[in-house]
Parts: sequence; structure tokens; C-alpha cells
Amino acid sequence: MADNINDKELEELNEIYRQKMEALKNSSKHEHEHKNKKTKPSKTVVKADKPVVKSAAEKKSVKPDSKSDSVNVDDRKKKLAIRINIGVCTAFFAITAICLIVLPRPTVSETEKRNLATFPDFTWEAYWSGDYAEDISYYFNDTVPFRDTFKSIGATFRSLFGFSIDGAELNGTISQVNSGNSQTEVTTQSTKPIQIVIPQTTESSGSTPSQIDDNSSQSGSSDETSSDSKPKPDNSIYTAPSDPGAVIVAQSGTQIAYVGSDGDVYGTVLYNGNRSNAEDYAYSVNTIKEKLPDTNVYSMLALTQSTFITPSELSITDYTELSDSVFVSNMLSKDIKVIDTLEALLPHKDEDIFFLRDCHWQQLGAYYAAESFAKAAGVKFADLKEYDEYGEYCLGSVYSATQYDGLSEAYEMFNFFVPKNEYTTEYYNSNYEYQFDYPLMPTSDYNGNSFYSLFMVADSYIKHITTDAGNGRVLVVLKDDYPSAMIPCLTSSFEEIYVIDVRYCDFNVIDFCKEHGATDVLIGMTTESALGEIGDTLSYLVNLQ
Amino acid sequence: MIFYAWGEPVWVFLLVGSVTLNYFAGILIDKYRDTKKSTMFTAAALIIDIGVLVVFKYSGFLVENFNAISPIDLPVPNVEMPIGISFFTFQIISYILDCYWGKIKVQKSWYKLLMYISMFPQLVAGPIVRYSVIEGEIDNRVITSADISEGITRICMGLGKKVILANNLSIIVDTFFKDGDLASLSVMGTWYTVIVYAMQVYFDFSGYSDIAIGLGRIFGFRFDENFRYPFISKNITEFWQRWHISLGTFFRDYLLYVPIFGKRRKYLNLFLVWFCTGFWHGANWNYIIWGLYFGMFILIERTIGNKRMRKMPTALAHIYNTIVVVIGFGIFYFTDLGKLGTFLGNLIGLNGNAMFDMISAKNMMANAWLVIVCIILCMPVVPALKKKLESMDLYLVSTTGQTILNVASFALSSILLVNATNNPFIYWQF
Repeated sequence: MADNINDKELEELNEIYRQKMEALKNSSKHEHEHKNKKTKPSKTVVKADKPVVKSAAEKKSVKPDSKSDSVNVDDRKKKLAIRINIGVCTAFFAITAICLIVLPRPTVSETEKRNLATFPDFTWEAYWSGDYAEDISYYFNDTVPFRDTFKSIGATFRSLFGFSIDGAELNGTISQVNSGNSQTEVTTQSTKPIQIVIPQTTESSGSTPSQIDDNSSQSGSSDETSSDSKPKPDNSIYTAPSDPGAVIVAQSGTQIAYVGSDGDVYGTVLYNGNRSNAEDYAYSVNTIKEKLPDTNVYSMLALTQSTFITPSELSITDYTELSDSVFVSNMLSKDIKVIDTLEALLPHKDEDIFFLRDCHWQQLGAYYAAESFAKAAGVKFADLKEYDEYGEYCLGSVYSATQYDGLSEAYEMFNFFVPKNEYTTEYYNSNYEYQFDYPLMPTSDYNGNSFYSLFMVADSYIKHITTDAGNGRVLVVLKDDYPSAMIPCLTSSFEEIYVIDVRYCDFNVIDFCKEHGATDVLIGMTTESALGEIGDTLSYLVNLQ
Repeated sequence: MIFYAWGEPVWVFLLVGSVTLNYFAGILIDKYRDTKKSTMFTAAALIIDIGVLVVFKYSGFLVENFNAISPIDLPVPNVEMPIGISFFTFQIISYILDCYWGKIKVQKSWYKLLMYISMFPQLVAGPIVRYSVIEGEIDNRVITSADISEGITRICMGLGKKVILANNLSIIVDTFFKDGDLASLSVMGTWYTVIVYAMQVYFDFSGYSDIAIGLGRIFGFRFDENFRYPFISKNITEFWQRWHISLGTFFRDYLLYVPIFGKRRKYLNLFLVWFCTGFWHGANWNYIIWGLYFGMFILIERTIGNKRMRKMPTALAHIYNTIVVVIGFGIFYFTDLGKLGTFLGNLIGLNGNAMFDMISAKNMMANAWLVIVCIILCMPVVPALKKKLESMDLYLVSTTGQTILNVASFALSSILLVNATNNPFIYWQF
């Protein structure tokens, strides 16, 4: 964009210009005789005498041979153009700077679901290392006023980079698929037979859950999935999802955005469970049952998109979520009731039971899991007709994690069901100290960027729900964030429900169950959580003195 | 100084120390002009300046290579390289040599010499501003409204080149060269990515140069142009007259025409210049290969002769230049020589890679408009358009359009920088 002439040319042009001005000066007397003329040579001479080094664009347009009128007109135009450029640009810079200084800086990003940077504290160590200056820069960058809005605008702009393919807007990065060697076999090592609660007897064939169950007592393996197998219309047969054409377009940890063969952009969390940690979870659940022999104890390892939607070609682990859930369940005591979410969800796999760009399940998926649990517990379960149904748009968590522009506007419908029966919800802190009463599902607070908090506000609170079920059953749910969506589905099933996210609990959960007269304890979380820190945390809470 | 100390709170003292030393060297060179002492002081200053550069930039590389060819296993120093050391060292060298050759008057004010070296617009990533260029402006600067207007335009356009174009091109490059599986990248994908990378470097570095020149202009300094649409060149010699001009002219004036190897061995001088050009960019073999690669083509072009080169059909000349330059940028990118070999093999399908792959194709479609706009802006379309409008007596349309473009570029760049990951200018590492 540089269109400059060099200094030598510049000087030559200046010289020509000066000569021209001298000539005009000499003829000034003659010029004054023509009063109607607009040209005022004396003024121009003064300008020419100034040691002004004009811009290249200006100098190029100097026409020494043109008439004085046109020189003056050109000069006026240039001056006007310069004033406009300086005035407009400077005003814009100044307004931007003032806005950045005056406007309040956000402290939380709703789309990214995180606290933003804070102004760093000064230390000499940080100063000399350069960290202090770097942190200040980061603070100002991270807390730009209206940052989420600007990010959205930026994403919209970037969406203009690309063509639309099959109705899907592709833009930004498309990377090669990490074709992980997914080992899809189910291996089981338990010598104890497990009890899988099957609410409805389903025909099993091939690699159905029943067959997994059958194999569970053997130290062998069986094909759980096959990427080559074609989808079958029979919803009772599990076939691992496959899409060889899937292309990862963005990744943050295990959260990925990918473009499927259908051209749509999806978001998911790649399963990354570590089977070697299975003992913590199994130990915890077995201990709870051991210490609460008269209480019904259930284990529910919720299956996610990894099992039902995410192409198996994208897998990054040797074992699948499904095979690991079976592996863990096989380590549980036989008097623990295992809620098989595969059995619960498989017949409904073609319904909208999962988000396509978020790590959670839709409440409909949670409803079917809750139904399975209720039947295992032998309590009544409300039909969907007994709920008020809502639909709101939401932005999936994968966008927050990956910041992939192609997902920034990829809102999807969030369908949720508010039970119509009578119930109240008390909120407690992690030491079980009362905080406040608030709706179980505060629909008036709905926010499409943090939509999962619709379920009981926040995981950090312990909830005590009192319902009109009137059956004397008291349920304690020990969970991660995933099962939150199924709690509202149980308000007709249990008279009291205590909901504890084990990440935000500072007491012994077994003692808690005893003190509150729990008749049923449900330990529910994703398989990856059970095999990770949350399973470890649970074992801590079981032993906490 | 505040600007530099903000990013380099420790090495700012190195900068000050270097300026102080060369300030006294300049005084002594001037005092003992035309005597052996003058030569001695010049040599001493140059040895120290280059020595500092070698210690901070090349010591690790040199020790590593020494260890590789000798039975001795010296500990490899891990020295943190101060930002912009290559640039300010070369500026200091230009000052000392010009002092010695009498091309400039020695600067008697330490403060003014410090101002020249630490001038923040171009301190960290060039262009290399020679003392002779701004000698007069240090004491006598005239800032006109035209200068300010032009400076603002250059800053806005430079910012746009960097943030809107280069940063988004870098995402494509990272996808295939950094994060992707290079060995499985198709021939088409490899060419596509390296072309994008060449444009990324151009917009990144020329964008910074525009910002530096614009800032200098606002403060009353006129830095020389550093880029003049290099991709429109018809041969490599012309390319280097348009690409990173300040570096090319530095080596031309301070190394090429200094007959170190004697006048009859001009090819050795040429070899030295291009070795240094490559090595200046980084302490890695790929940079040296990159420099020598271009040196080889310039040697070939000299051997063929200008007249014969001019006879080459224009289209063919552009294709030749583009291919050589683009491959050169591939060499520039891959500091890992193994990957460099894979890249070169990929270009002609030697690695058994496919000619075409869907992922690259999808990426091309996903970024088609961006790439097309960048290709267009690699050519002097904007100046030509401005010229055309002015010739049609639409001067105010042209200038108003430029103002709108300035505001749009600034606004869009600011928006795209919100929460952007740190995208330092490529030449900051040099």
C-alpha cells in the first residue's frame, strides 16, 4: 500500500514547485489586475517557502505546468483531505481510547464460562522476569468491555472467509483428523457377576448390552463396535457411531469441534477415561453399600455423546466409554444396582437426547435415564405429560472451550421439562449450611450461554428438595454435573431428594446419608468422571472423618 | 526506552550499554580520523557489537554444531535473546561504519544517539534505519499535517495487514505445517500452505514496517521503505530489491561492496552476503540454506545476465520468480531439517503423498475469499486505484475512501484482537 516516491524525486518536485511559485510571485502585479480571479499567489508563495516536506501522494499530484487555478484548487482539496483524514481517524482513536478507559471491564465471560483476568499485583520478581508487564497486557486484553459482543462480531467477520458447503458454513481452521486407534473391544476382568437393571426386556442380538452382560463374567473380549458396520434401523442394537469423513476443525483439550460428512459442524468431548483408576470409584460405591446395608445403592455411569454420536474414528483412547462403564460396573458388589444407561437410551437414540455441540445430554435423555432408575428403585415415575415443556436456544459448551468461530452462532434448541407437581428446593453450601430457597428450575433466569445452570442454579450448592410424592422414600444423589438434568424428573418419585455434587462437599457422605434417613443412594456421573478425579474425590468423602 | 523496558526490563541495560560504548567509539573514531587508531577503534567496536550478537543469538547454535563435529561435549548455553537485538545491532554497526568512512558527522550527544537506537517504532522488528537516513531529522524535524495524515494511514494499513490478513493466514499455516501430519499432506495441500505462508510473512512483516514508518512519520522521521510489492518481481534479484529492502541494502553497502575477499573473488563476497542474510534471520541451518538458496539464484541470474533475463516472457518470469520465492519460504519455515526434507518431497509427490486431498480442498474453500483478497493485495492494486481516481479528478473520493479504509481497518483489527491469542510479529524473533 506504499506508493511513495523517493527523496530525490521529492526534492526535484519541490524545486519545480518553488520555481513555479516564484514565477507566480513575479507575475503577481498582473494577477492583481484580475480581481475576479480566486488565486492569491502571495499566500501560496508563503506556503511554498515553508520547509514543508509533503506526503508522497501530494507531491505526485503537483503539476508544475498546470494553471495557477488548478494548483490552488488541488492544494485546497489536499488540505481538506488531510484534515478529514486526521480529524476522523483521531476522533475515532480518541473515542476508542476513552471507551476502553471509562467503560467498566467485565470480570466474567458468559460464553467462555470463566472468570476473566485480574490486574496483577506488583512484585519486583514479576517485574524483572517480565511477567508483570505481560500480565498487565493480558489483563487489558482479557477484559475489553463488551468482549463477548466483539468476539461475536469477529466470528461473523471470519465467517465471510469461506464458501458454504452443503448448507454448512465452513470457515477458519480445518485440520486433519487424528485417526486414533480405537480399541473397541469390551474386556471384563471381574469374577463377580453384575446386576444390570433392565426396566424393559429387550430383544438382544449381536453385540447388545445383554451380550456384554453375558460376557462380563468371562475374561475375554467381544466386539462392542465396528466402524465398518452400517447403521441398522433396529434401535435395540448398539452400533458405534462412525463417520470416516469427519474432520476436526478445532480442539481444546478433549473438547473438539468437527465437521461431519454431512457438512454440519458438531461439538463434543472425546472420551478420555483412564481404566487404571477404576478401583477408586468401585471402592467408594462398595463402601457406601457396606456401611449402609439397609439402603438401596445404585450406580449409574451415564453414557454421553461419545457412545452415541461422536464418530469412533475420532477416538483417542484404547477403550471406549461403553467398555469402561462395563469394566467399572463389573467391579461393584452384587447388591449394588447398576443403572444401565445404554439400555435406557438406546431405544431412543434417534430422538434429541443429546446436544450436538455441548458436552451434556438433553433433558429428554436424562428423563429416560431417570425413568430407568425409577423403575429399578420401584417408585412411580411421572409421564412427560406431567411437565411443562419449554424450548430455548442455547450455545454449547464446545464453543466456550474451543472458541471455534464456526460454533459461535451455532445455537441449538434446548428442550426442558419443569415438573408440575408440588415441591420446594432449599440451597445449602458445601458444609450443608442453609443459604436460601429458590426454584428447582429457575426458568426466569435462563441464559443461553450457561443454560445447564437452569438445573438447580449451580453445582456448588447442595440441594434439598421436598416433594409431594408422599412415599417416605429419601434419595441422596452423589454426582458430578452430568446427572443434574435428571433430578427434576424424580420429584414425583421420592419424597425427599438431597443432591450433592461431590466436588463441592466437605463432609462424610455416608454419615450424611445416615443422618438424613436415606432410603436410596444414587451415585451418578459420567464414566470419565468415575475414572478420574471425581471418583477419587468420592473415595475421599467416603472416608472423611 | 520505556517501550523497550516494558518488554525487556533486564536487557534494556544491554541496549543502553551498547549505545554508550558505541557513542564513545564514534567520538574516538572521529578524534583520530585518518589514523590507525581510528581503524582500531572501529574494529574494536564492531567486534564487540558483533560479539554481543553472537553471544545472545548464535552461541547455542555454534556450540551445538561444534559438539556435533568434535569429540568434546561442551554445555550448550541457553541464552535468552533480547528482542530486536539483530535490528539495533545492525543500526549501531551502520553508525560506526558510516562514522569511520566519514559519511556522517559523529553524534556528540549520547542522548541523541540513544534516541536513534531506541527509537520505538522500528526498534524491535525493523526496518533497519541507518543513521545517515535520519541524521538531519534528529536535530531538525518538521512535522506537517500531511506527515501526520500519511502516518495515520500507514499505521492503520499496517495494523490491518497484520491482524486482519497475516493472523488469519497463520491459522491455515499452523493447521497443516504445525499441527497437521506433514507427511500425509498432499502435493496440492503443500503448495497451498506454503503459498499462504509466503503471504503471511509478507503481510506480517510489511505490516510492521508500515506501522513503524507511519509512527516515524508522525514524529517527523522519514524511514526508507522496506517493501515494494515484492511478489510482482520478475526475478530473484528484483525480488530482493523489493523485499526487506533495509536488510538487503545494509548487506550491499556494508558487506558486498567491501572487497573482503579481493575484487577478483566477487562470488565469494556474494556467497558471504547471502550466508549472512540467511544467518541473520536465525541460528538454524534452514536459515543459512535459505540465504544461500537465494544467493544461488542471484548468481545464476547474474551469470545469465540482465539482458537475457529481460527477454524471458513476462508470464514465465513471474512464474519462475513465484515458484522460487515460495519454495524459499518453505525453507524459511521449517527449522527442523527432517521436516524440511519432507516438505520438499511433498512438493513433487516424492513421499508417496496424494496429489489432492479433501481436507486441503475444504480448507481452501473455507478460506477462499481471504486468500483471494490477500493475493490481490500482494499486488499494487490500491495505489493504482488511487492513482486512477485522482486522474479522473476524483481526488476527494480517493482520499475519503482512504479515510474510511483507515477507520475500518483500525476498528476491525481492534475487534479481532479482542481475546486473540498472542500473535507476535514474525520478525520479533530475529
